[in-house]
Amino acid sequence: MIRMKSHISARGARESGSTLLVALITMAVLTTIAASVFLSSVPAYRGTYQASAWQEAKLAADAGVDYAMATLQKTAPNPMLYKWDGWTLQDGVTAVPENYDGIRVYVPPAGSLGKGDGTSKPRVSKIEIDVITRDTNFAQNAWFRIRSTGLAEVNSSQLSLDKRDLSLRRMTLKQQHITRTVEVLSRPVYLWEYCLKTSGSMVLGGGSTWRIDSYDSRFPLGGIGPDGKPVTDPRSTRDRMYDVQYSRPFGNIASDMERPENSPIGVLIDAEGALVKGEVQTHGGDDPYTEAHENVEEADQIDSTRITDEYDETLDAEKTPDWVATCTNIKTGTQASIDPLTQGTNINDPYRIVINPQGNKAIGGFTVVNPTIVKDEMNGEVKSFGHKYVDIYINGNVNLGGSTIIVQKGVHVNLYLNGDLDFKNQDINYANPAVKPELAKTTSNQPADLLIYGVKKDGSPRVDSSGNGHICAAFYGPQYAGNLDGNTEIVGSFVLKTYNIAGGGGAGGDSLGAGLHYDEALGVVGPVKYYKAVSYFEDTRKDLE
Amino acid sequence: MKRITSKAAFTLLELLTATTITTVVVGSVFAATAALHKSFIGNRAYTKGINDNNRVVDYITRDLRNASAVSRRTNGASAPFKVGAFDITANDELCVFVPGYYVSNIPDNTQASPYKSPIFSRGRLEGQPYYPYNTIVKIDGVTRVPNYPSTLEIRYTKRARSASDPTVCIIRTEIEGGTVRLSEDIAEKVDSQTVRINAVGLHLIQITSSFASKWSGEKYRNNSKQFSTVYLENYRSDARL
Repeated sequence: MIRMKSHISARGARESGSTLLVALITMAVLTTIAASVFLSSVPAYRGTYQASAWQEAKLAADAGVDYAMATLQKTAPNPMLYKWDGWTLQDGVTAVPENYDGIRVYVPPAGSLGKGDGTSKPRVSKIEIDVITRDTNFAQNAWFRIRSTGLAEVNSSQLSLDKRDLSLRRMTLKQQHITRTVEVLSRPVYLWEYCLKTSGSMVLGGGSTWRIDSYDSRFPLGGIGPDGKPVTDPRSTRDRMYDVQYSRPFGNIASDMERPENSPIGVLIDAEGALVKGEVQTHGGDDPYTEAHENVEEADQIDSTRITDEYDETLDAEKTPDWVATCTNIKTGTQASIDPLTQGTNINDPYRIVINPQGNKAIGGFTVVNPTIVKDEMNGEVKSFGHKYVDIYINGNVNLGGSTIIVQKGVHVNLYLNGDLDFKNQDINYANPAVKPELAKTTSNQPADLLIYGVKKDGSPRVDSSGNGHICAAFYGPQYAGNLDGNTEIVGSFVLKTYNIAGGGGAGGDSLGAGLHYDEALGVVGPVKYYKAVSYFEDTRKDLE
Repeated sequence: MKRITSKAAFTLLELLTATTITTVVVGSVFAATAALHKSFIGNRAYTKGINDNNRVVDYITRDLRNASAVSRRTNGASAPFKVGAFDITANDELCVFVPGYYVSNIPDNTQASPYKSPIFSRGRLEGQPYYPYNTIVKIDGVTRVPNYPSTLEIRYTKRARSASDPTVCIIRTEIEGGTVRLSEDIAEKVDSQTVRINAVGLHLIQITSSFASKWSGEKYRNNSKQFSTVYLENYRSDARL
């Protein structure tokens, strides 16, 4: 028994020793496996998490830019008058003064923070806007600078797999968050920055002499430039009018029409062989992998390097005026007179009238008189004049058969038209000094002095012309079908739904050069249509926050 | 004694059985450990590859978003990059031009250093309410665009780290006015990593990075692909070049 016990006991001891050894080995192996898994997976997890938080901080910063841009859109059409409700100066308390140039700040309310998905809780930390410069036009509209900071939390203060990640992502691991700051410059966009824009189709003139180009009435032959020195490179005649010898290559045109989804490559502008000295832009339609430009047909007289397909702009109709003014009646076929007398000397306090046609008839033409013009008694030349600002609202159609629209020198007209417009074959705000010398002495001949806003939205509004007329004006009506037929010559800028010219578009009458001639001075006149981001930069060197 | 000894001993069969079992068990453990080790190494290499992919794509994406011009530099000759695709190599480099945005490029990263002050900060206005129009705005034709005072070139290449160190790296170099301001490897040991740049249009560029792990080889390269598509927000100054 003793032996037996001893034997059993000895065997039992050996067996439990083996089990312990096996268990220890197994535990060691499992521990090694677990440690390896943790060693390799935890830094990878951290890296993934930090990369994700870095991306989300950027999204938050972009969201802040979106908020700021949405605010800037509210400042149009007159940013000077905007009240910055909800924004403060940098002290976080003081309201933003009127027409302020310095930094204004928006900090999202505490209740709206930390609502982002996941544990990184991305949020807009702070948005700042200041004026970086102002346009040099009369309105001096601001170019705004937006600085938006986004923040996302990281759950660990330890580094991920590679120290290079820290260099890229610039994390403040002690504070366990990532901030990213984006800076955007935003500029005012005006209605007539292009020679011709359409929201729909565009068919150009096919005459051999028909062309689209530009000139600049601000820099005339013999004039003085903005630096106070004589203009050495004139861009227009002494009368600040278009002349083919001063033709410039900035008659830019664009169509926002899109191709059908099942046929994205193809024609969007029919150039008809016209000479276009400017950018030609469409909304898609070009195949980037071919040398040809499928988006523009018969483009043999267009510089192929200036044909692109990235134009994308929503063209909204202007609002109908809501101001109250004297109501006037003008008969069709007569040349009426509109005289502001002593009123309308300030652009912010223009002389305003509303014109209703008699019965259901369309109204005819009119001359907007400048009573401050002083003529030389000997030769009738204009010696001096004051500036007059006139807003006209026509609540009906305009038909210029037998009459025309003349704007005298020094008068600046905003014409709102709630109806169709037929120019017929008339010269609009245009008198060629060589052909009508007397009329030319007092006529503006500047498209910036006759800004026409088509505000009719019902039915199918249209603007028409025919014959050998000249139109010296800017027209904005992206809901208007434009049928500017015959040999009509446009000096200015048109924004339409469609543009079509039937009849060849050749040179007729006292043609300056058949076609469309854009006055570059129009690029900064009129109301601000909207604000557009023109520069995007992530500030990667700023102090960590 | 003899009986006791003979009772305590194993039979030959027992010994053979035990030896066989032990060999199988130990062999299995070694095989499993070796496989696990290989798996860990492979896993770590794969994780590194993915992380490198991620970092390289993020670097290029960030710089392209700021770009005002983009070039492809082939054998030392640069040309605007507007359409097409190429892989970044030692002789085929991506050059991203971003606005010269900072007062200086002296690498001083202390708090409130002028290195980090944007050129057009309000602190440099000297009492004026805003900057002069011609300082901020450039007229390109009739289009009003930002007038960046200078540009910083950022060049991406894939090559040996140096003449004495053959480790293949993705190198990011910042060049200002012909002077190299910063040169850093943003990923190392990237022999099998391919970074492809594809210009879909003038303002749309796609970056793809992939690698072939030693373990799985080229067969599974597609599984490692990471993409980023960047819309270039800024006006491209090289659009007509």
